[in-house]
Amino acid sequence: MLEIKDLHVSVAGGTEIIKGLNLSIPAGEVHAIMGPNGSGKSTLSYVLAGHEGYEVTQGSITYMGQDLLAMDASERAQSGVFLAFQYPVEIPGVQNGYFLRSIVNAQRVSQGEPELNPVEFMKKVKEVLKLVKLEPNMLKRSVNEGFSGGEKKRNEVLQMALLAPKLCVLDETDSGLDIDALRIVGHGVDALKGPERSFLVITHYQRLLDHVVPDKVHVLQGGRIIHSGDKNLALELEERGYEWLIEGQS
Amino acid sequence: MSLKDVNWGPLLTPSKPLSTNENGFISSERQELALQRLSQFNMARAEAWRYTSLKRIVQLKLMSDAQQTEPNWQLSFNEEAIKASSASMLLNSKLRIISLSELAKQNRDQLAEQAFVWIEQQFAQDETMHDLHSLHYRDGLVVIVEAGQDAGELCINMKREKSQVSAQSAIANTLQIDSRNIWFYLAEDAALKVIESFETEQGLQNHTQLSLTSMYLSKNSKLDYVRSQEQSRGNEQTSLHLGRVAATVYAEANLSLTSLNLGSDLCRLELDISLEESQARADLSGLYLGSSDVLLDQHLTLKHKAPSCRSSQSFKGALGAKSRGVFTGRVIVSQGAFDTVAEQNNPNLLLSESAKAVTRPQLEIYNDDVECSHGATVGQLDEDALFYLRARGLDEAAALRALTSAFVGEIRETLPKQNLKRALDSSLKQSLGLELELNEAEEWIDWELISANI
Repeated sequence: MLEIKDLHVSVAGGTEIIKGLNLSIPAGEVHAIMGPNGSGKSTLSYVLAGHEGYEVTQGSITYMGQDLLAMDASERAQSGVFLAFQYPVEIPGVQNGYFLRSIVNAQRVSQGEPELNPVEFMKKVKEVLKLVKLEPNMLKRSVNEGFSGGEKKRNEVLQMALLAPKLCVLDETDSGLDIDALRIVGHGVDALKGPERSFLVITHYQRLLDHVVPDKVHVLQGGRIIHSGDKNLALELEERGYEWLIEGQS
Repeated sequence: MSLKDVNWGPLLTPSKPLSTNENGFISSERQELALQRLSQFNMARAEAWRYTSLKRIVQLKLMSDAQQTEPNWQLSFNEEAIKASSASMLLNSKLRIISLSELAKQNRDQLAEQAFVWIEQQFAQDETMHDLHSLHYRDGLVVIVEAGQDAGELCINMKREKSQVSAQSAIANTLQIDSRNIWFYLAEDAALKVIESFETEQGLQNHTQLSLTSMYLSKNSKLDYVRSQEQSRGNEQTSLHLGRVAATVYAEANLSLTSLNLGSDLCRLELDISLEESQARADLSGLYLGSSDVLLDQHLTLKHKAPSCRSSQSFKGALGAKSRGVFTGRVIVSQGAFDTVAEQNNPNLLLSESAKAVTRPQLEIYNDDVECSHGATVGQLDEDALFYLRARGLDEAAALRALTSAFVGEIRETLPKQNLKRALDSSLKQSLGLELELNEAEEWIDWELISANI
């Protein structure tokens, strides 16, 4: 599904943040990336989504056999890459329902399918609303504007469910959530798991991984993956922190 | 000084020399005074007219009076058209609509007399636009709402069609001038909604709109006023709009004003709002859209003269191509105006590298107990929002459209009529090449209703 080889990334025209990262995620697997602040986790998620603020100076990213770096942000999204933002952007004046239908239709058009009319769309969205426990009135509000932290993250999972991506990148989707919201989000993500769908879950905490159980856990430090393990590694990190791994490196 | 002695630009040659004197309203003395003042153009005026060159305006050639024709006036009251023949005087128990010449002639009752005295005072002001109007005076329209009455909604549209000036339009650089003045006088506890619009047929050139709208809001009255202005554009700054909206707001009265400035080669809009007594309130909002090389000059003055008044201003500019947008927002809080709250906001969106926005907040505050805020921005679309939309699969053009639509959407939502929304949509399409994302059909979607029925 995703093959990252010797990836080097700098802030456009500046500091190198990712310094030789290798990662391979087969279809159907859930991989978690943990690591201290500033280790390059969010940068990795932005690079995967196609943010132009970062410059790939070396290495390759292959997604479904294609060169991901040759595609722009919208092409990546249309071909099934989805980034659940750590800080979902508020867009005053763009109605959420309209926005959701637009992105669904943009994807359908790119795949040669007819657009959904509002009624067809509503049928589709109604089920998904239940999944993330959001009320239909949230479709009338502006995208993310005035949403609570939990609503924003649930809106991200809602979009993910609507677009049915192949590669889901979750950038600290658990941050800023209370226990109930975390359960809803975790349950929503878990429900989307499938043999054709891979997840890259970036998180600081073990708690999301209780709901979305990872096949592998990687530790990102200084722009490289310094350690990998199974789901028990997350538990160990929760208990011991990163120090022991970082010390082992140097 | 007599009229003949002045060698000033043609705009200052009265288009109906002294003839309006017949109705006893604009006297020859008033016209002479206007000429005198306009020819002694002083520094204060120069500052107020810094971006719109009055000099340029007065050099434009006007059609001779004989060639001038009247534009189409369309009036409707609570959705019902008022025939032109009855427009001179329409009376019901709630409001009267009467021409200014009639008002000047008739025996006035107390309310009419108050309105008349107010209008006379307005015209007596040393004010550039009033001076211009005095020279190009056409009969005005006076709307009086009786005390305690909620009169409903009045729509006033002035449309200039090409056929009306076809014979004259061949005369290069000769301007048809449409001058109008409207006066709203609301008695105590009265309420009125007004939609005033200006349009021209596509392709019409060499055309000037000179407009004066004045409002008097007595104690506890309420006026919702929407103004929409659009002119077909010419090649060399030949469509001009010179507009002034003035309002005097008394105790506990409430003015809501929305201005749509959808295009001219040159548009100068003055807003002059005065909160005269305590707890008066004015909420002002506007949108100006610039394309090609037009100049849109908004000049706002808001006076807080009494305690506990509230005001808000939200004016947005969306500027494409080589257009220029100017917003001067002057807020004056007088010495005795304690407990004042005044907000001002002027975000500008530049849609091209050559577009230019000038924003000039000017706060003059003469006491301590004041809460004034102002925010002005000039910028491109929000990069984070653009990326967010693209990361969901919208291509760049669609994402740009969505965000620009959102920028103008806020004011679009407040427009009370579908035809105003359509005018805005088509203007966006023509001026900025933007198909508004939220089309009319989309607005009909009631998500909850659909949801309930599935």
